Amino acid sequence: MIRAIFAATACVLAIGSAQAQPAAQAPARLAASEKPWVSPRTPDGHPDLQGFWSNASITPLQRPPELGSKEFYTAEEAAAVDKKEFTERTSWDRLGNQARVHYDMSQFGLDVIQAKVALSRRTSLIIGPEGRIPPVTPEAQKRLADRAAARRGHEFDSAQDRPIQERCIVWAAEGPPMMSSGYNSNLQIVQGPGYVSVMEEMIHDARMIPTDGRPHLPSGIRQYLGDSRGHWEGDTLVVDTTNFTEKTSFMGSTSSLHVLERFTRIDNDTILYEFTVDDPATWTKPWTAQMPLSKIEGPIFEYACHEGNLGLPNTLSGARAAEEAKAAK
Amino acid sequence: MASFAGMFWLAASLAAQPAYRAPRMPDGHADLNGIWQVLNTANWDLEPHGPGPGPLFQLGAQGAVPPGLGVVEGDHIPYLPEAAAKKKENFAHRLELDPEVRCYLPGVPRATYMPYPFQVVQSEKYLLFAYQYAGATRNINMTSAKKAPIDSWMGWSNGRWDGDTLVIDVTGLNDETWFDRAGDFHSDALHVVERYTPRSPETMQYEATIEDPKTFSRPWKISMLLYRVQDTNAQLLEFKCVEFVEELMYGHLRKKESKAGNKEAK
Amino acid sequence: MRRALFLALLLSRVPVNAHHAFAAEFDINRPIKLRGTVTKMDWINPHSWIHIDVKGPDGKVTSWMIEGGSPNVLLRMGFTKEALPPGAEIVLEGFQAKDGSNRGVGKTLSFADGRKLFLGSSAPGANGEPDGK
Repeated sequence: MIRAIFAATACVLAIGSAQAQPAAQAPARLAASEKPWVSPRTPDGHPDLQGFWSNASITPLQRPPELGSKEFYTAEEAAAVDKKEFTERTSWDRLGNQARVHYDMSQFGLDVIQAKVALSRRTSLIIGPEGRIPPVTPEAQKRLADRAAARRGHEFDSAQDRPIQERCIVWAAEGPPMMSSGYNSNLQIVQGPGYVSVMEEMIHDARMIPTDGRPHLPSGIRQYLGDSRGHWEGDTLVVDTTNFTEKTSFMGSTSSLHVLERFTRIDNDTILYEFTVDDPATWTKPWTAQMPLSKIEGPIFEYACHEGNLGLPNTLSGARAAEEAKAAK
Repeated sequence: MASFAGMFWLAASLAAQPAYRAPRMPDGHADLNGIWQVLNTANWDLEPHGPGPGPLFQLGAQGAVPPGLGVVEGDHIPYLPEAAAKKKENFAHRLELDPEVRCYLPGVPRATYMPYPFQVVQSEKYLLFAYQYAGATRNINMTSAKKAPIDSWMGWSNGRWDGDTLVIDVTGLNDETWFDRAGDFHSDALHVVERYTPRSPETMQYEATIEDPKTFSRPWKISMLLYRVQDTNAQLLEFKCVEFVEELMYGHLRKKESKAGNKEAK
Repeated sequence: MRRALFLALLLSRVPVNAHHAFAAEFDINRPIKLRGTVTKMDWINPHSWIHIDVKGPDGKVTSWMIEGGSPNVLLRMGFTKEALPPGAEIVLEGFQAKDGSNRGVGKTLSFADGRKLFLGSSAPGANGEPDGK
């Protein structure tokens, strides 16, 4: 009991200190330029990225339109933004329209502010003057509209009609690119000879990334998480991923999705994670986002999803019951 | 003269061959990094078994159980009488009951001898096991042993070195996995101690001692070789099998008039 | 002035990423108010489940299962399966499953004496006193 309270209090202190300190001093804060940090190295001479990391974030993916081309908040503005999220908004606010029928996330520690959030002065994860996802191509517009039309009224027809996350096949945030989940937004990096392994807590997926220069898989093999190949550019691990399935559909994209990720450890507690997403069949140009990964204590706990997925059959049987009730009227 | 040379040669060859010494990690421990796979039929049946029909006659020879020498030391799993009866029931209903059919995580030790590769990623700090089947993973705690907070499918692994042998003590296993397709099972009191010993550049000896006083009259042991996968560009491939069992598990909940959903929603 | 403008115009886009839509599983038109004794808790994903025995006014006992959150954060904080022992009495207000079965989600969920299960309310920093730890 004492340990639990201590842990909860430590959580509180971590959040509290992020507010109490001016934004510029917190090591995870990213300003326009940072002094380069000397990384510890693995035996093969590469930077040591190993450990447990959280990519929990409260920074929106896209820049609020009213901020225009403003890429960074001042320290003051950022502190105000964080304060609002941490103290004025509640876990119910963050559930949005799901709040009506839901348990209290914060009771289980699942509210995002209860996680280790690496605070950033960015106004959006997407970098650059626009800070927004580029327009989709006309082809993509039609494809997505057709898909939505076909789905309308059939969302609960069968298990195969539900999102792949609800079916426990792949978590939406897994990517690559790896996005922030509202909770359990954790990964573990292990570097063995010739491999970097990035293990994502949800849904227990260990991305094995060979760094030996081998080619990608043949084009006939498609994978939900694509196929990743890594190499080092100076002190940055660059990971190139192709061979996605059509079903992955990251933000509506196709199997020709191409993701480039860059991992750079910038201090003891922070990896700067950057990704560029490119799919000419979906967006008119590539787009790039950046977010800090912040160090946490392990371990990663098992997230066996499919094995306990009562929600899916319960949802389907609920839909069948609702139809029966409607038909009986 | 000739006989003396002959005796010398004989003596030299009988002298203890040095045990295989695996390549070293920089920290001095044996390097177990690599992709490994078994070449036996343990996943069908741990005990010695001749060939037999599978549960679905429509699959003919493709669905049959292949013969195997077995991996159980002493050939026989020492079930308690009640448990032995349950194993028979399991076997009779294995099509409905085997968690492998449902793409459930295989647990330990079954994950080791599924007929698919697994990868060991070992650094000085961490040890990760990743299995191709269902993307199962295990994080092996190589610091001081910690207690499992709850039960899980792949268990709670505390590891240590015994010379060049990696010893993994596994607790916190739930009671929902099977050892094989033949219905061999256990309770939540299961305790597994694994030993991985490098044997040659291409092989590792794998042993697992299984202890479960609710199910077995005494601890028992399985033993087999792990073979290094050396095909060019060998890698673990994604094998997310949930999709392949959804029809079986949820087909009865489909809306009656609609066609099988082929519009994959995100 | 500019700071106030930023605050005023701030729209939160913190990602909401619950596993699935609870409104599809539970019925907002079937409110429930239960008081029950814990028989066991499944510390599983994607959602934990708390099993309770509810005694009706006629003395008849029915079993319910209440859907909760992923236990992984609690485990990271040091909670174990002993944190919610059988015999604990809990109360909840929420909604019943759409298919009418004895499953529910608790919008409010606490021990009978008012203490929160596991962690505190939405105010950051508040934490309850877990039972049995």
